Amino acid sequence: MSSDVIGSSDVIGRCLGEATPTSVGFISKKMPSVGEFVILEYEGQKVLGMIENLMRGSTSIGEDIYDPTIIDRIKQIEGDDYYITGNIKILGDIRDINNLKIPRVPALPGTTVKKAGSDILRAVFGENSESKQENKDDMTDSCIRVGHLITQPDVPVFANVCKMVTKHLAILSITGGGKSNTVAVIIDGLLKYKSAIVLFDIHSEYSEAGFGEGRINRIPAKINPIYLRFSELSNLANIGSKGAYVQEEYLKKAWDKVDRTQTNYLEELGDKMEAHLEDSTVKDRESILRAVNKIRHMGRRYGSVLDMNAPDIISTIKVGSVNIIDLGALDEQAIDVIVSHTLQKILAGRKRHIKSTRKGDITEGLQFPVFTILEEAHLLAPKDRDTDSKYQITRIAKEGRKFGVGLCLVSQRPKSLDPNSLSQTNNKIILRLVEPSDINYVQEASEQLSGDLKSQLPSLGVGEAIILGLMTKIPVLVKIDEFKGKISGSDPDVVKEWNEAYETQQENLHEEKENLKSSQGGW
Amino acid sequence: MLSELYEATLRNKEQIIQGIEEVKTDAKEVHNYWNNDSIDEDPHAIIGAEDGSMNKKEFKGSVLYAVDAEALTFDGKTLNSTSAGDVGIFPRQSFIENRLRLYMSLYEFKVSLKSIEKFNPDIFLMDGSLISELVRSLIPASYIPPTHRIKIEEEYLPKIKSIYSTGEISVKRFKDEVKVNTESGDIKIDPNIYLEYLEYLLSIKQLLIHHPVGISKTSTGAEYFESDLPDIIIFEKLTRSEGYSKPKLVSIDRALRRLPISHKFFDGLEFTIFYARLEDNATVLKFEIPGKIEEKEIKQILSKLKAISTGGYPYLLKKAHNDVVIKNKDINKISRMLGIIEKTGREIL
Repeated sequence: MSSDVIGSSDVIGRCLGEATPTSVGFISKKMPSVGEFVILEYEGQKVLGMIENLMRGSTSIGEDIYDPTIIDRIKQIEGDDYYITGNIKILGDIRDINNLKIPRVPALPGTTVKKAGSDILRAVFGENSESKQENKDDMTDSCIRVGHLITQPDVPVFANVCKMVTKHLAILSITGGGKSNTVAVIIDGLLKYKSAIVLFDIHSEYSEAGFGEGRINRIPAKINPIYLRFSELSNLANIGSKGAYVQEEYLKKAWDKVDRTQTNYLEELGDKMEAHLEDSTVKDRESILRAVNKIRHMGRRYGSVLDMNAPDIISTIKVGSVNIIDLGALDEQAIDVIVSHTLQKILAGRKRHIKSTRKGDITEGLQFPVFTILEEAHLLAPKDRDTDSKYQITRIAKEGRKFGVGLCLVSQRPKSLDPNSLSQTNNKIILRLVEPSDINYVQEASEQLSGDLKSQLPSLGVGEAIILGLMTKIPVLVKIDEFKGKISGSDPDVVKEWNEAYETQQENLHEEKENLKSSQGGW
Repeated sequence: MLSELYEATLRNKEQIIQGIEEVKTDAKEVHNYWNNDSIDEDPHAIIGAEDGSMNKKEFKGSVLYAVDAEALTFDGKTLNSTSAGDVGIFPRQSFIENRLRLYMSLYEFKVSLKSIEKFNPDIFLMDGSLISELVRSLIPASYIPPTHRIKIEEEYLPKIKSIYSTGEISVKRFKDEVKVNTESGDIKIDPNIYLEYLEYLLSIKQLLIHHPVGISKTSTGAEYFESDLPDIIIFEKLTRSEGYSKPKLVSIDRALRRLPISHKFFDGLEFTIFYARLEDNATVLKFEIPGKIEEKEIKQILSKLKAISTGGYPYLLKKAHNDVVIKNKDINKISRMLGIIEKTGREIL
């Protein structure tokens, strides 16, 4: 039997109907899976496609039957008689596996649809021959392994590191869909490339994660006010907003005069402004008083993050490590301060470095590219309000690529995320999403997410994802690898904890009774 | 224009409704003929069924046609199919419809015979009336001169008999020869139709020997009641439960038809007819079986059919129909495949 004949093990079906260069329908007697990769050969090309949707019907059991016993009888006579139709998204000609160009002509009706072999898919999804030879089946020259194909578990899927970092990434999912595991897998992979990752750990999930040979650099969530720029300081003190220009003017005068290396720098600032009040001719007494109060209030409000002994946060970032800023103990406003300051410093540091390198000067600023990962991105860059972090995130989303600052937005509420930031993330790992409004919102921000792929999102299992963007050559349905270390983000076993607490309580009670008995005995 | 029709509808409403005849037959008389015995299912039988279909697309100078037929058998486990079909073109002339119907029936009979030979079913079902297949005017014989008919009967019928098989329509082999030898300027129809008719009769004779069961959903037959309404309507209206009528033995009216071949076989041919409902409240069906069939045997046949029926109708017949039906979109597709761009004459509408 020829390998092109229906019934051959690798032949799924045949193309039919009107095709376009990017899409073709097919009919089959075998049941493939949505997301399965297929090969079509036409016009001298060998084209890779992905099954986007499937429909199974029966010519005998139609919608005009109103009695289930009729169906029993038909099934008795005809058995499981059905046909399968579906649609294939054309992904590109695999003769040039690096470019996967979309053919200029549509598939010929009747073209055989064959299951794509593992060897082809391994090549497409980033595993090269070198990695095989070196027995490093989890990495290639510039790729990290993120998981394997849902439909073919023997085919690992790799993501290109450079494209992931420079084109930014969004990891989106409902709670419990596998976001934290995905973040951990990516960090683990990136650490093999001696990367510099800054992780804003909002729920203190990753501090004990045991990443890449233990290369964790824990950075305290502290800012030394002396490293705050004037604009940051005035924003933090809520001066300069809402037209408070006079207050800002007096703050600036004080900021210029004060010795910012002093440990009592913030008090000095207040004192300097207050000094103006001694001059009876000063007209803006009320504004000055307000500015002084705001600076002092700022000191109290952000006492948990402002630390005159803290080093410049940028100097604490280490290359070859995941730099974890544990924000678990902070409120939303304090988190905003830390995140916006750190992001601003990183981008400014990289800009300074690039500029000095171009000039041939002694290199300044941040010497290495940084991949920033922001958990709960919808809180930091919300759609419906402005935060300082949102401003910095938007800047990195727009400019980061040129300066080697990558952004990874992680969120379980995509529809609450700033659309400008989300749409700037070229790469997306979309795990399970259920809410239609979330799904539609993500689709608007992603041109690669077709209607058929979109419909898969609610049915994905935990750890299953659609990967879109340039970091993989083509959109792909992936089962994300399980991170081998420990993440504390999983749901607590409440029943177990209740039992343990109850037993402890009973033991204590028993102990107290025993103590009481023995003490009574002593009387 | 349509508004005039609506006006006429309203104007004639009373008269039209009165014209729809009511069943006046006495229910008691009906129940004298109707046996209410429940029909038990008997799945231990090989059942066969067939159906055919035809369609055509008329162009100004020619007619594109398609005919096909399928015979199914089911032995309780396996469903087997035998099918055949043809696509061709006739010059546009009179009696095209007759010729196509003949062609379709030829295909139906041949696939049925092939299926019977191969799978040996206990009961073989045919869609429609077997009696009608024999008595209706399938060909306009009077338009073909007797000399030509005799020539075809004497010269070509033996040839057809000698090469007859269920695998092909034998007359096709002599198509051009018949036409040349019997051509006449006055004749407006292709004389091949007569030879086709003879092969049709040969085929139905072969088939009737196997005692197929003809099943009709509609019928104009009035063998049971003295009424202007057909028997099937009276049974339908005045019974509800599953059951069957007492059988009647009928013969083809020799005065009306005298078939040109196998007189001995056809002239003595009798059919047992009866009506049956396979499921409460389902449609009454008319059954025709060649030869004399006893009531006990009828009950056995119905039990076997009930085991493969859905909604009171044998599913194999329904499936065969669905499988073969040639819809307008199909004949249009065939026309496109052939690249026929001849005008139909209706483009101007």
